[in-house]
Amino acid sequence: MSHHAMLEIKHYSKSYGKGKNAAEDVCLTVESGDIYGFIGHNGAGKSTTIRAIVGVLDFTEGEIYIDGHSVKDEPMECKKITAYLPDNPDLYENLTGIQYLNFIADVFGIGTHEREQRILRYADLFEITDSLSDLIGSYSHGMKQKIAIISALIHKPKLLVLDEPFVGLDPKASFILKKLMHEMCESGTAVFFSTHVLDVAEKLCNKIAIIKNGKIIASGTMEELTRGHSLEEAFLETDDEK
Amino acid sequence: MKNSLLLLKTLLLSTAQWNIYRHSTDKKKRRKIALGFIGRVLLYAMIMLSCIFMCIGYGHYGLSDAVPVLCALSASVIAFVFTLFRTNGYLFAFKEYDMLLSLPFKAGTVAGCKFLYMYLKALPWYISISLAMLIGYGYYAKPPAASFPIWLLLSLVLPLIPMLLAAFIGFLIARISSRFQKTNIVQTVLTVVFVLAIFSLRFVLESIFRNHQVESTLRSAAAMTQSASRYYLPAAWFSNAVTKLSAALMSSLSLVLLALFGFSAGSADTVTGVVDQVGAKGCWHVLTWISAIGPVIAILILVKCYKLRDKEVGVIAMYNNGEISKEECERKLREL
Repeated sequence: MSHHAMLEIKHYSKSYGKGKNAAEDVCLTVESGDIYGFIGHNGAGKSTTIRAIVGVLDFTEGEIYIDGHSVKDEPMECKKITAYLPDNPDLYENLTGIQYLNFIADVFGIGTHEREQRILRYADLFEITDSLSDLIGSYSHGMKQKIAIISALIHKPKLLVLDEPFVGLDPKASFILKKLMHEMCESGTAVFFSTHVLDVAEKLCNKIAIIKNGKIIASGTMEELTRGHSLEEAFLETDDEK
Repeated sequence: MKNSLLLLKTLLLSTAQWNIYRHSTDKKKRRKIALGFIGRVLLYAMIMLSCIFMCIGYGHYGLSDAVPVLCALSASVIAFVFTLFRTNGYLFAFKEYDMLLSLPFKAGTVAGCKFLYMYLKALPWYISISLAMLIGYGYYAKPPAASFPIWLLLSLVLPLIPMLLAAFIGFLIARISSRFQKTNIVQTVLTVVFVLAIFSLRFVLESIFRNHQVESTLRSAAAMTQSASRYYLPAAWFSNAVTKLSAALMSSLSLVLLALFGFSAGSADTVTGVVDQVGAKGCWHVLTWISAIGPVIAILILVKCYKLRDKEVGVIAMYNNGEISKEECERKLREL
């Protein structure tokens, strides 16, 4: 049985026409159990790459594979094992938290007993159990973020893709999310997330890639890239070189 | 199918005012929703009353034959206009695009459910107009009983045709306007033109009543609606279905029931010009078996031959989008 990387991006490019490349020849590999940080400035191409991974955006060139399935040719198989948390989740504001989570659970075919257990567990961890019967429109940004996180974790994805997940989260919720990410990686899930906060990436990730103007300028394990220095120093050094 | 129903149910729930009313703790919001509901009921009642009075006007001048076509045209125009102005924002550029497309839904399922959602949300408008005109038409034209269920059934189906047309036009407008910097300019222009047309219609109506031209205007309108049905075929189909098809259906049903429950040969001694016993038996067999077997064969043919498989549709779509050549398309279809 051949081994597949959980996420494999091969020569991915995305152009918006008139020679403007949002991403150019992006190559990276995420194995099961990795927490992979995707670092770059605003407008570097992080969200474009992430949206292509989760099948929201078409791409001009290259291939993306999730657990051996092509995102272009087998999108349903990829989406069934992937969870996506956008940077600004647009949820159905006129549904209650529990109605939205039940919708997601129905989409992934999660049984009643299982979903109840998982929803209660995550809602208790993030301390929003009492708000589940309120309309999402009445939630604060942080609470909406928490609901979106729970909806991403509820079906136990093999690949968790997050776009700036810690923005808008309070410190306790951030800590819980990091703990959950470690827990999921220990059970074989791969986590791929973008951030421009280097401290978070340094403490959390075992591998990172740095993207600038749509191109990967550095990638590898944390040790390979930092070589004993801080990630901030390594990032600035790499950024200046390229 | 299961995912489509789930998505449709969630889309409807996500905009259902009763759901907001039930779960909201904001008293002002709840009051607003309750008042909105009352307002909508009054609006539907006003629309229905004006349609009934319109039919009374037509019926009073002996023009009730024009009412089915008028009903079809009114529902079609409303369906077209509603869909055209909502298509861009609702079918192609909706807020929860990333969330929905990242879930295991096919793009076609999302588009189909959104289209069906638009149809269901606007259905009360079409039904209120259709029901009101049915009452008016029924009172003056006294159609056969079968016309009523046919009218209602067709009223459910008819708006889909202009909706599809409007969705296509809306898609073209979205594609064209996306090339401009100010993408909303085309839609803004259309909205202004539409509003101006509504305002000018008001002045036209006023002058009709002031100059005692009601009867002649109604006669001209009836003639125009009849000629419109020559160009807008769904209106003609609706009218024919209600006026002629119902009679044809009643005849067919009667024939089938007669064949099944009470066909007895007339004696050649008592009735002249009637076939003999052997001939009567032959007629019975022809009537019964053709009525029964014909639809079964038709259904089998439809199910077997007119259903395109998803994979075939996908390959054809790739060819239409220019992603593969004609030869490659034909090769892939042969392989399937």
